[in-house]
Amino acid sequence: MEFNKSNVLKTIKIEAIGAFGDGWSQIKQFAPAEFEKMAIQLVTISKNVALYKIDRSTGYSVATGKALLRMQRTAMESVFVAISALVIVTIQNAINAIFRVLKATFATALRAVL
Amino acid sequence: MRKTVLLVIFSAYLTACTAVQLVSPYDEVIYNGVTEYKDLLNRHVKDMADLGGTVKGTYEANKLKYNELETLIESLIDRATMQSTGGGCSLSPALSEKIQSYLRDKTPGELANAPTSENANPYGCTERLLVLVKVQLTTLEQIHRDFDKCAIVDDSILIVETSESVDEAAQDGEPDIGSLIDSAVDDIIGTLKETIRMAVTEKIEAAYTLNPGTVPGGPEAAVNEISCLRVATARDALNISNQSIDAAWFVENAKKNSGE
Repeated sequence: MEFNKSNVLKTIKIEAIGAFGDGWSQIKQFAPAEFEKMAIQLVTISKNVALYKIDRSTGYSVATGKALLRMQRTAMESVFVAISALVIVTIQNAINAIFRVLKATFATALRAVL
Repeated sequence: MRKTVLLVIFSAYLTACTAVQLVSPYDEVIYNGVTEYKDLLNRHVKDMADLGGTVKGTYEANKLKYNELETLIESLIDRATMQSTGGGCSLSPALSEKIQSYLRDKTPGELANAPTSENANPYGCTERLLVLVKVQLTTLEQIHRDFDKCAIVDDSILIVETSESVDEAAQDGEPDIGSLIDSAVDDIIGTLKETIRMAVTEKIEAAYTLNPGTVPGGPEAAVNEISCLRVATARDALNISNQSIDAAWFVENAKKNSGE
C-alpha cells in the first residue's frame, strides 16, 4: 500500500474500530453485571435487617446492616475505578494496535525513508 | 516539501517508538497476590460462618487471621504505590484532549466526561483498587469485633464425651496422649470461657443499669452471646468484598491480556 496521508488515515480508522470494539465489549459486559450484583445486595441487606428484628437468630443487626452498606458503597467505588482503568487500558491497546498495523503495512516505505 | 517532512517525522516515530504505556504495566506479583488474598479471605469468612457461636469463631480467636490478611494486602498496596506516580487514576487534560482529538465521535462518554487535573495520570488505578480492598477488610473486621453476636453453642456435651473416652482408655490400660491433650485444652478453654462470660456479664449489667434499652432483649439475651460472623453477614460481606477484589483482578487481567 502506498505510504500517503489518505492510506495511513484509512488504516488508522479500520484498526481503531476493531481494536477499540473488542475492549469496549468487555467493559460493557463487566459494568452491568456488577451493577446488578449491587442492586441484589442492597435488597438483601434490608431484608436481613428486617429478619433480625423479628427473630434474633436470623439476619443481622442494624449496626451490621449499616456497616455492610458502607462496604457496598466502597464496592461501588471499586467498580467505577475499574471501569475508568479498563477504558484507559482499552485506549492504550487501541493506540498500540494501530501503530503495530501501520508499522507492518508501511514497512517498505519506512525502510526507504530511513 | 512540508508533507514529506511530516511523513519522515511520522515514520521515524513509528520505527523508533516502543508501545504506548498509559497505565502502570502488568505486574504478576500483584495479579497472583490478589488471587491469593481472595482465596484466604473466602476460606476465612466461610470458616467463621460455620464456627459462629463457638469460641473458635470469636473475633478474639481470629485476630491473627485479620493481621495476616492485612499484611498481605498492604504488601500489594506498597508494590502498587511504587509504580504509581501519585497522579491518581485519570488522564491528564492534555492527554485526554489529544486522545479525544484522535477518536472524535468514537470517544467513550466515560472518557469525555471524566474529571481530570493537571497532575493526573492513570498509573494509580491499581493502587486505589487495592486500597479499597483493604477498606473492605477493615469494615469486615469491625463487624466481627463490634457488631455481630451469636448465641453460644453449648459444647459441654463434647467435653463430657472426650472425658469419658479418656476414662475408658485409662481403664483399658491404653492412655491416648492425643485425647489427654484435647481434654486438657478443653478444660483450659472452658475455664477461660467462664471467666470471660463473667466479666462480660458484669459489664453488660452495669451498662444496662445505667441505660436500659441499650441491649436489645435485655441483659440476659446479650450475656449468652459472643462475637462472631453470623451466617447471613458472612454471605453478604463475602459477596461485597469479592466485588472489590474482582474489580482489582479484572483490571490486572486486562493489562495481562493486553501484553500478550
